[in-house]
Amino acid sequence: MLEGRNITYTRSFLLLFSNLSFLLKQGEILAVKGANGAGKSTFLRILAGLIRPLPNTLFWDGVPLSSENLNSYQQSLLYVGHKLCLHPEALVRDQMSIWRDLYGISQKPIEAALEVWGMDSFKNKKISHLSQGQKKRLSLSRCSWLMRPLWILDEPQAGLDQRGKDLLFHTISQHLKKEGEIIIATHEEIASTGEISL
Amino acid sequence: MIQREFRIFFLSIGSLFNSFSFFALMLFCASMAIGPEEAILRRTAPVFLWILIALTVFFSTPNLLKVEEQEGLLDEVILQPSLPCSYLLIKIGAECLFIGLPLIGLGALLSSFFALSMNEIVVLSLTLLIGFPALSALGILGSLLTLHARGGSILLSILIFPLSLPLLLFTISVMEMVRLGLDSSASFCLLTSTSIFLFIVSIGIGSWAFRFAVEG
Repeated sequence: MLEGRNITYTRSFLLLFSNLSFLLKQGEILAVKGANGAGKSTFLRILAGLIRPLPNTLFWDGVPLSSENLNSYQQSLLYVGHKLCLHPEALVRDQMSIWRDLYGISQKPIEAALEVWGMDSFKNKKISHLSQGQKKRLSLSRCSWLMRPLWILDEPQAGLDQRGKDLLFHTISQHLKKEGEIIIATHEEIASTGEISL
Repeated sequence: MIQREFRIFFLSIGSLFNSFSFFALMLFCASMAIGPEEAILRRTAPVFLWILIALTVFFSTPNLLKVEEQEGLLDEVILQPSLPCSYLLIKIGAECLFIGLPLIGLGALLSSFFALSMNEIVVLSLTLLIGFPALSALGILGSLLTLHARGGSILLSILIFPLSLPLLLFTISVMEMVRLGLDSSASFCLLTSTSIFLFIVSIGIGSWAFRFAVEG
């Protein structure tokens, strides 16, 4: 369970958003909406701990997040932002090896996920030669093999074709059925249990 | 994390080839520009070698980190359980292996243009091996500090290059001692201790700067 209380952020002396509160329980999805530049990505980066949250603003399973327990909290989440975390000079199979090394996962689940996301035929292709949608699919394939309870997704459907979007929402619904939690920034209408507007 | 970093460095080796070519070309041109005077060549060899290696590191490191920052690979590091200083140590290790050793090897090979004896080449290479980790640490620190600044590489050179001058000065001292046939162990000790000091300070400040670089 993730709870946010009075989350406020200021950048270059300008107030981006203030006093945002929410409660996200297992099996729930929270939609973050707002105009371009409203601060959705910044908000999600705070929730992912990439921008350190202020004391007593974020609570994971009732425990306030601080510098002492931020790392263990981050092991419970999967963050997929605008930056896709793909090395441009790598081949797709090299990227799979990088993930395997980094997350300590065996090759099989990663390969199976690639097949699900329609990227298995591109294993020998350089990532910089993939289209934006293909790169997005590759990045999102982490949702299928990295078993983390909390997902923080920043406009995951951007750049995807209809088939990709259907696959994404199928993966999301599967995760919710397994009592996972999702925070998603999106401009599209989705069935969410809660909403934050920036 | 170690395997990841080494794999990433290996993938970027193509872009490093330009740096190696520039280094070799500049070293060759410098030897031509100085002329045939053996005495002048032997005295200036350590200076040129050190400055070119420092500039190669300070110009190539920001580009590598910039690519990683743009692609979100630094975010990935923050989301891992390891500490930023572990990441920096691994990065420096990879840089020493993929940039340092080739540069030092190339420098040793091209030192013949500066009429250095085999003993002088060995000693010079040793000073570079001792000092390169500190150069690399300084380069990474500067890259983190200037990651979001315009003209980062140039700013890095202006800010960080002066900090590497003690390493150069102690190397010149070592080479002079060797050239004159005197005991160079005191100068070697000073070089080693300076290198260790700069390395530790750079890692310490770099760990602090890493988070700010990612937060943007």
